[in-house]
Amino acid sequence: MNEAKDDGHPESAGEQTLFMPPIRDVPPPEPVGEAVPALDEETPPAAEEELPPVVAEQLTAALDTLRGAVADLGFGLDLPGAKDARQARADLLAQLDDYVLPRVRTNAAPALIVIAGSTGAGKSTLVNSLAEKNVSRTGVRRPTTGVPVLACHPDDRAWFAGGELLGGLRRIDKPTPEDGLDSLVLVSTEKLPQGVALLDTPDIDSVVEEHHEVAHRMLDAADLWIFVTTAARYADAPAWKLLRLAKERGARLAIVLSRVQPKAREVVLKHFVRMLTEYGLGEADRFVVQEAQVSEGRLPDSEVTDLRLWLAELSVDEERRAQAVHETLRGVLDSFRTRVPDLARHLEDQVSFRAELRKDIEAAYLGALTEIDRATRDGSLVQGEVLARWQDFTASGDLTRALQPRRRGKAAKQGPERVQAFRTALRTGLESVITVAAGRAAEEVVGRWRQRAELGAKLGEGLERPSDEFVRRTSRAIVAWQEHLVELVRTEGVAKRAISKVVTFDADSLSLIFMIAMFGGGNTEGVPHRLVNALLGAESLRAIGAKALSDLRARIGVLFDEESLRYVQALDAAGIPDEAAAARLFQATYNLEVAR
Amino acid sequence: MTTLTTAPAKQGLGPRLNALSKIVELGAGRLDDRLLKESGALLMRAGERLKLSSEHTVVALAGGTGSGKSSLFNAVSGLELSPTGVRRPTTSRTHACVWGLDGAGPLLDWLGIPGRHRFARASALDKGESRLHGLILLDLPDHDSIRALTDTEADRLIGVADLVVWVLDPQKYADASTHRRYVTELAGHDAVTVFALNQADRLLPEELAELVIDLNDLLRREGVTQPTVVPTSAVTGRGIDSLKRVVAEAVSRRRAAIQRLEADLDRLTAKLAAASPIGDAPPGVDAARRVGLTDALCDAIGVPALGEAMENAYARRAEQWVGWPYARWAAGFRPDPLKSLDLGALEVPQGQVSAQPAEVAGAVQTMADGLSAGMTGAWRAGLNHAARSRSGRLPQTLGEELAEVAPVLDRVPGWWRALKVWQYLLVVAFALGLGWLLVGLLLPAQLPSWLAFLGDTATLPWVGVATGAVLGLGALSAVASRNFVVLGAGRERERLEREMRRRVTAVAETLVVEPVEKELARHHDFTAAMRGL
Repeated sequence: MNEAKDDGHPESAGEQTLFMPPIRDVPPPEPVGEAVPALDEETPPAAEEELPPVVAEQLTAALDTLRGAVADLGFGLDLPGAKDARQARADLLAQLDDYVLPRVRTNAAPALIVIAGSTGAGKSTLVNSLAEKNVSRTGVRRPTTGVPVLACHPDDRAWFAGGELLGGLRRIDKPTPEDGLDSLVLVSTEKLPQGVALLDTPDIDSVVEEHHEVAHRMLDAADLWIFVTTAARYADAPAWKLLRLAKERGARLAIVLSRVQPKAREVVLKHFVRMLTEYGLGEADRFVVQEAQVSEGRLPDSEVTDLRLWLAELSVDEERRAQAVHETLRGVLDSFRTRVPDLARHLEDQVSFRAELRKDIEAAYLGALTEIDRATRDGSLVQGEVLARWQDFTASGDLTRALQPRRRGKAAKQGPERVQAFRTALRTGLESVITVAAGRAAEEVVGRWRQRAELGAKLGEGLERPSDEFVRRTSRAIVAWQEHLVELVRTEGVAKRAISKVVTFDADSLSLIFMIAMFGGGNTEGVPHRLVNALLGAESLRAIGAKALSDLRARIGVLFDEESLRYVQALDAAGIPDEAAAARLFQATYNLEVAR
Repeated sequence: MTTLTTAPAKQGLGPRLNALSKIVELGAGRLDDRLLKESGALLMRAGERLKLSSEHTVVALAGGTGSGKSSLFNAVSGLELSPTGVRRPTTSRTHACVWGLDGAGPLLDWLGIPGRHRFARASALDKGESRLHGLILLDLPDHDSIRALTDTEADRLIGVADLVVWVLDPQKYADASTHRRYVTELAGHDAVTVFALNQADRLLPEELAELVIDLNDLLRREGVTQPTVVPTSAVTGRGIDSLKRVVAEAVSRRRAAIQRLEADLDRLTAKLAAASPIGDAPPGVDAARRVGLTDALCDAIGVPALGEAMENAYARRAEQWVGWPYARWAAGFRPDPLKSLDLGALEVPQGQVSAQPAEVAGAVQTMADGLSAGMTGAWRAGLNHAARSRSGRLPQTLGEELAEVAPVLDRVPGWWRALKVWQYLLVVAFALGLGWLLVGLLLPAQLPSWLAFLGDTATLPWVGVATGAVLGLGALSAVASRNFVVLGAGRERERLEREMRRRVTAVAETLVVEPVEKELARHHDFTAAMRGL
């Protein structure tokens, strides 16, 4: 049960587990699963009763690591189950702080018996009767008890006042109206035996839901549970939820059925016991308190004699008490085997959800790029106005004017307006291909997100359309690209020698013809293609074409990167789950099992 | 339409249910499915309940296990109809007691109460019970025991009863299972909810008073503005008459069924309003937007560019006919650099018309965005979808449609021909004049006698002037006719553009505006129904 001891440095064992030696950095998942039951079977309960100091130290260290790992967890994304996971994390953390860590450090402390149950079941009355002192308020108002009350023997008071157990709660002597649920009333009475303390908790089922939380927190810190229900309530669903929890946690449990009418006692008790047996709780200690006149918040002494005896036995019989305490502790540590991996799994869910959403962004914009690629290849760019301008350009003789016989020196005057309009038409066409593709991509991202989860729909709000500046940025990018192409044609478009002797050309116009050839689809027999081919040569044509296309793609890529950044930011704003945290959790659970 | 939008929020149940059914009809795919289902269920329930006996009022006794619903049921009915006991939970089936059985059968069937659990009180037989005539009292199973986790009978009947009497007791009156799940949820149902604080006999009078105050406070905090709390005791019979009075009042008014449905509708309305805030969108596509769409589509086709190209081509062709022949001949001598490249025919086919798909999509999107700006969530997506529903065919249809009006490039007006003849006549005249001059000046001696007049030195200067004038006349008429050509080209372009616009508008109407208007009308009707709810 203790591998850390094998390394021969017991004094460093705690540190070792804390810092996780590299060899254990990522424990294979299978050994964890297999090791758990194996360890459990090999560990007889008696062996845990006396924790040797080294073992306790290692256990503390392992628990500290686990605590750190749990404390680091964050569930930023509001996925289904995130609320539960956050609650589970808080519970786990509270239980570690309130109970497990103090209990492992000092296992000789008095046993804490937590009295829990429905509102109006008479928990406070029971505590008052056992303490023979009105320590907790009773009354007809539901819920009655708001501030938990701890009653113990004066000798034990120092330990509970010390604040190791339930450290987060403020100790007070008397409840005042301002005291909220974050305080604990500490009362000492000699009527209670030594070594056991009673904790009166708020209810588990009233309209004040904060009470349920506090009650559960108290139960998480309990060494023994006393569950109180009444003859009218013993079939209530919340009560059975709590009993099931007690069973799951393996907590030591005693059950009190109170407010039983004497004449109904037989029937009710029989039925209740049958239900308990069906639930597998037939073994628990049971006490019956009959409906009796409550005077000054206390029951007649005769009704609580059995319970008092039970407490006294626990107080005297240290072995029994220790066993009860350890059973509960073991139960809690056992529960970590499922509770911690549950947290890790939810974290993994968050991580994978985020990954999926990111993938959606990439897929949508990749799709948009493909769409644009297709448009540049299938000739759809040479349609509409571009086609009209091209026809005009060729028919009006601008094409001829772009090329001039060498011997006449400088090229003749262009029809600048027509060339300009032609260039603008090409730009507009390209722009609209890009903006339409971007619009589709934006819509697709939001649509996919919406389909994934409600959270996705919320994240995508306001992002259904491309950003406002997108059109402006696109137009700038295309202008820049066209200029780049003119430059390419000017510098790299060295005309074939045979041609250059005869003809000179205007780079501006030629770049336009080049674009038409480039976007004109597979038609290599067309006029523009033949023309540039003849002027520049096939090789030069290919080189410029490849460069121009890749430059265009790069510019669109930059545009789209900026666009998709908006989605990534929205995603990041919702919270970035720590991908390594799950592994750390599994590691910590593994370490804990090793240390036990 | 306007009556719906300006009507006060509260209307009769009938019109409101009509509005709801409209919402369910129009909201499919635009509203959350869960909400649609809930609305549909309420509609169905309302329809069924209103069809059934309005003479009867269904009052359900609901509460936790052990609160004494069955005891109270027996106390009110005065009979031991429902078994009571100490084992929890006791009642697992609903029992019904009817005061005045006539016509209650179908209602009980609808409630799903089996025959053997129905009991009748013939009110005529009981003096003083006549005020309860028309009451159907239900004793429900509990809703909070472990049995209820798998049995939704209580939940179902709490949902359909006209009036719910919550039976609370001193132990359980503040249970979350009652308050969180029902009371808070059904806040606003004040008129059809009564709280009976049972087992009052277990408390001292001052304790009871404290408890009643506490319960009232609690209920007010939960949104029950005017809670009706009646302390009762099935054991001593205390408060039973008060409870009967409260119930009898509801029964005699015969309004509980409607009030219940109204309260349910109010709650649903709030939910609907939260889920689908009323959007703001025009009821149809206005003229400005139509023009905008046509403009954008014309740009996608390049109508202005086509017009310009047509104008240029017109001018060029006209030049062939009406231009000064000498200028044409001179241009023919200019070297063509393309010829030297040996590229073969460099004729680009003219007169083709097509639409750029991306620009078409952009045009449609712009209109949809403008219209849906004030819409919410799914409606926006719906409008986008409608706008695109047929627009996939748009580029091709536009191309085909406009190809029919593609600029005609081979039509030759008569005056062009006349001018060409005139120009050639002038050329001939010039040539003759030139010949005369040459002959007259260079070879006057060799002229045969019958042509001697050619060498007449007196006429020669005049011939020279005439020849020059002929040349000038040709140039002049070329210049003049160019002006007419520009005019004609402009007219032709205008005609072309007008025709193209007309066709684009028509195509856009059927392929874009029509489905969009349908969706807008749906949205408009939906918001009207929402306002009328």
